[in-house]
Amino acid sequence: MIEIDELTKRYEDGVLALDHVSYKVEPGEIFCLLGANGAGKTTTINILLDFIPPTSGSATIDGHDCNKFPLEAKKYVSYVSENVQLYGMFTARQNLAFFAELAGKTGLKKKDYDGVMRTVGLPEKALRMRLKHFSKGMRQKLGIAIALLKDPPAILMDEPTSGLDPTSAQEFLAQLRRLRERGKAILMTTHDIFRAKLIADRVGIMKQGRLVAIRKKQDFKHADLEEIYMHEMQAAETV
Amino acid sequence: MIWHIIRKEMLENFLSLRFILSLLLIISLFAAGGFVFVDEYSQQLQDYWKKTNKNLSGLSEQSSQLYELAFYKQRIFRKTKTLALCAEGFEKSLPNCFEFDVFTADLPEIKGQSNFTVPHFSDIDWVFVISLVLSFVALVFAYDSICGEKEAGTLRLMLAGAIPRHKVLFGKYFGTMVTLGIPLLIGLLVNLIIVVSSEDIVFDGNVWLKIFTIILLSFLYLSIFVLLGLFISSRTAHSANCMVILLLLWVGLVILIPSFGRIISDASYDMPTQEEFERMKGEAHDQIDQNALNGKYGPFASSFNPDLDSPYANPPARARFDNALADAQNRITEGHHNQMLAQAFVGRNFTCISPVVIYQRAGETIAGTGLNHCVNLYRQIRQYQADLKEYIRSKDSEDPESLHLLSPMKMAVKNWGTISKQPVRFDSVPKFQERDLALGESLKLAIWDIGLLILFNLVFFAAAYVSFLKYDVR
Amino acid sequence: MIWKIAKKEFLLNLMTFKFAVGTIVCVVLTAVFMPVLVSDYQERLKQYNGAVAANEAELRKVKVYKNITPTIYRCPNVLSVFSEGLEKRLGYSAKIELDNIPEMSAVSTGLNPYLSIYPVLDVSLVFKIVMSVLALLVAYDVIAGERERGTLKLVLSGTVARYQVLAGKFLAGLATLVIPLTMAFIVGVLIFEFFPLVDLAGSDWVRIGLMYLASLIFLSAMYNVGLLFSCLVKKSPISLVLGLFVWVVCVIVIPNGSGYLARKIQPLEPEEKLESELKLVAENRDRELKEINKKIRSSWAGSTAGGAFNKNYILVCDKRGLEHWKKSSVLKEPVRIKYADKFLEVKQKHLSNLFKQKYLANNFSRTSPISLFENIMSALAGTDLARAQYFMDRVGMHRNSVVAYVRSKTADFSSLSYFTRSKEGDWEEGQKILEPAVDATNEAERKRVLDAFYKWRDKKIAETPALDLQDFPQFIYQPSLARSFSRAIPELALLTFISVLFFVLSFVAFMRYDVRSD
Repeated sequence: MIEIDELTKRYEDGVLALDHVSYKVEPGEIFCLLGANGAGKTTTINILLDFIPPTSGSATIDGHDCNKFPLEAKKYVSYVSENVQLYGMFTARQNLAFFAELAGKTGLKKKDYDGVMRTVGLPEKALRMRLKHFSKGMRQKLGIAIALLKDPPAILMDEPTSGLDPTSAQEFLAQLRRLRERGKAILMTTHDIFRAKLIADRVGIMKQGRLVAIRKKQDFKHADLEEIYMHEMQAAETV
Repeated sequence: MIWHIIRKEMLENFLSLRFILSLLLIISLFAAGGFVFVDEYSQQLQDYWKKTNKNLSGLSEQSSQLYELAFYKQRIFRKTKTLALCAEGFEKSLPNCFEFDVFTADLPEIKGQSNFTVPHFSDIDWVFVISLVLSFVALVFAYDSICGEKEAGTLRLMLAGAIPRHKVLFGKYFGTMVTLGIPLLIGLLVNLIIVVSSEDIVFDGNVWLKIFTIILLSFLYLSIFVLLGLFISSRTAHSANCMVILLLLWVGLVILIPSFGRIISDASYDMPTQEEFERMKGEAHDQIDQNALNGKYGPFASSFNPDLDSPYANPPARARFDNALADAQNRITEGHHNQMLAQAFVGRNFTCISPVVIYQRAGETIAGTGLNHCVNLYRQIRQYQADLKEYIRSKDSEDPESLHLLSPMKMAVKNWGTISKQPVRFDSVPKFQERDLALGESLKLAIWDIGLLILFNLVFFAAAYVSFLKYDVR
Repeated sequence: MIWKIAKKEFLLNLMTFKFAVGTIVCVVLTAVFMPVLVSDYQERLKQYNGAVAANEAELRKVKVYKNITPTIYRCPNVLSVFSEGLEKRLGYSAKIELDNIPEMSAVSTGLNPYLSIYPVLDVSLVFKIVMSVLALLVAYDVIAGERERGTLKLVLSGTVARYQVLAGKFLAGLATLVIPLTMAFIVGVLIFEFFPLVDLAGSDWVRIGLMYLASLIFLSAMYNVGLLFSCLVKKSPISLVLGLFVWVVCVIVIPNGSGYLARKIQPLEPEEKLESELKLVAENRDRELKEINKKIRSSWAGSTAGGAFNKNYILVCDKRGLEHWKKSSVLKEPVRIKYADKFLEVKQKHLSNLFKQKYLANNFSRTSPISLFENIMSALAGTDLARAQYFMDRVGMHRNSVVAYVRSKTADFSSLSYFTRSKEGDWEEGQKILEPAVDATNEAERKRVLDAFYKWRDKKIAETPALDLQDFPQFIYQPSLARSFSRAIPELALLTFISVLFFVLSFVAFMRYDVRSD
């Protein structure tokens, strides 16, 4: 579904942000990319969304190359950004409607909006509230609602739990599980090891542009993910 | 404590794009202004001396016969002031040539300077750069000084420390003034260096004092805009909104209000057309003619017979008649001229709600240029006219062959000898010299404007102070 | 897709503070300026009508052809309310006379020269300054601001191409700016209705429509400038600062600087040159006239009376006087006409220097969209230099037709009616009445004789009817809309080009714009 193949990115100033990274995210799977700041997690997402071109290698979504046919690839993916303000003067419904229209979903009715609000755990009356009155947690939920309305097979999430209080974070994880049940392929970057442990089917650990380890859920169900993480980080250092 | 804030403001600003852009813009404007001035000033001064000397040599030719002095049409030109560097005062479009003889004076004219087909523009003098460009830059620096810090969250941090709000305000004010002052002073320095290093222009002590005064005035003017920026910044929560309000205020104060001056002037006076003016003169002429016929000035006042012994020749009456004619014409001309001046002043008086107008006016007064220059010159010429007339009268009284009748009829002099025909020493003839006002005198004239500028400062400061004390920093 | 983005952008714009404030300010300013300007125009119109009527009255009083020296007045232009141009800087009247062909001037026709310190006030000032700032304020954060808010990433993660986003934003920006522009125009035009004396002709409406179009193009150009900056920088305050600096340069520095540059490159000839050339021509003319004087020298007696246009005419004179004046007119007047042409030639040369300088200044100032806009408005309103030249051309033609008229009526100045209405025997009649004064023994008797003479004189004046000027040539002044428009077209094209250019540049910049947050 989401396929990263020997993806490499070197910036103009010489920094190697991605170094021959390869992995796949299958439908019905939550893949968490872990790593410190600057490890290359966000760069991966930026390449998938054609915000920057890769130096070599490829990133494809549902078989469509993100760099060669970006508009085609983007039809199959939704994006939940970190800490997005959305349009403060618009109501939640107006924000939803706008992005749905961009996604090509016309003719949405009130029940569609109500449904998606319920799915993400926002009260229906929040549809009429302007975004500038939303709390951070509510905005995060609305971001997911926007992604849901598009109903694509793949979802990209960039640090979605940063800054969320524990309750909202729990609700968010429940949301992810529901999405997985519907067969979505979810690529999520985070440095929240705790939540990653709770939700991920597979975890990829990135350090300085390289994918240094991939662990399946079974692997870290018993062991402590933090230990594995720290171990891999140190190991990478000594190599 | 305040010093820390000032320093922080300065450092923050020095590294910003707007400071660099301002520095570039201001320095290039002042440099351009300096070169422009040096270029044109020497040319203008040369022109002035050429014309003045031509006038004087003409005058000296006339001193071979006293009466010729009286009838010679002198042409006095307005002198180019050195301080036009600071405040040119639109002198290029103002009348600069005054023609007169001892008996009459014409309306001042514009001789050979401006291209009236080009729409109104002003030279790049200090007042132009400071009143238009620097006031804008002041707002660009001040607009986010309070609401911008609120948005960034640093205002909270600052006020979480043990510093009273008024000190923060003072610190921001002085910090912004210094940030503004640096490009201004550098620009002025560049400008002065360019001007002083040219050989034709010499500044004496008086000029330097006036320059210094104008610089102080400029800071007073710019402080108004900084305080305005601080005031609006402390009334809004978003710097974008603050910028919108300040921009519109700037447009209103700096561009729109001064433009109203013309309309106000036009509406305030009903100026006669050229034809009406001529008609007034014609009517006055007819009136005097009628008086003469009625014998007001004596018998045969309006007739002329070259033979003194003829019964129709009455020199005293004729002199009275001619003087009455000249006086009547002069009264009308002078009245018309005074009305024109009053009309021009009215517009300015009404538009001095805008600090720009006040500052321009004050700058012109101290520099000795602009409308006030024309008014002063006119007064000095009138005085000179009277002095010259007195001189001729006294010299004439020494000549026993003259009839001692000072009147503007040349034929009377030639045939009757109403004015002495003796030569006079040219050295003793009063010659016109334009006198600059001393700094003290200029300051006295500008005192109201300076007071108004100070008032603006106080008002905006009080407003900013009160606003900031109640500002919601969350 | 473009339409969806445009719609969202447009709605968002309408809800912003800057839009509300900007629209209100535009409308309020127009509502304040228009009455002031229109009532000033009304005053000028009244003055014009009064002056024309006075002129007509004088024409009806004319008794000799020599005194036909009417003044032509320039009708105030109602559209000067929108763009003042040169309306108040140039003289509004021109005298028709034999000695002189009037030329364009700012100084010789009763204008108050001290008023030149004031800048112009017209409605296009509101558009030029306030609306261009508004355009910049709407445009500056259109890309950079969305990037900061994170919504740009969101939008571009959808199936929308970058060019669609930019096109949508441009359309929305234009639609946003159309609102205050249209409201201001409507308010402005409505205010005309409050002034019943002010009439707008059909062509005036077309001109106003064209001015609206020009304002639209101007605003799109300013918007695109702001758009470009928004696409070049990542932070919206920087975009704003850049935009504002460019704005200050375009509004203040370029218009003033181009005037100076033109003065430097194309300086005017010194006034002395013009004066000395005119003096030379005057001396030549005086010499020729003196020659004629010598030829026809004679002594004659007569008395004059005051006539129309403040000029005297010969009421009665003796036979020698009649002959003298007849000869004098026939010989002198053609000389004066000839030299009037020569004077004009000299002055035109001088004027063409002024024009050259002005055109150069214009060319320099074309780098600023604001100056371009001002020129277009002035051309469309009919307050530009070309219109003034058209007026002076018409005045010149009218003078020629007046001269031809006088020539035809007086058989080339040889008819007596050119300078007098006196008939043979009139002079002798007057002398007979005056004779006793010489022998008068006392003052009272002398006075009696003089009184009788004056009475006879007044009778003579009253007896002479004014000339019949029914077929006097009319002054024709018909400015053409097509000509104005053709003058505005090159600059309109340039303004459109600038608008398109900046949009294309924005397009290029946006294609490479880094949408990631830091």
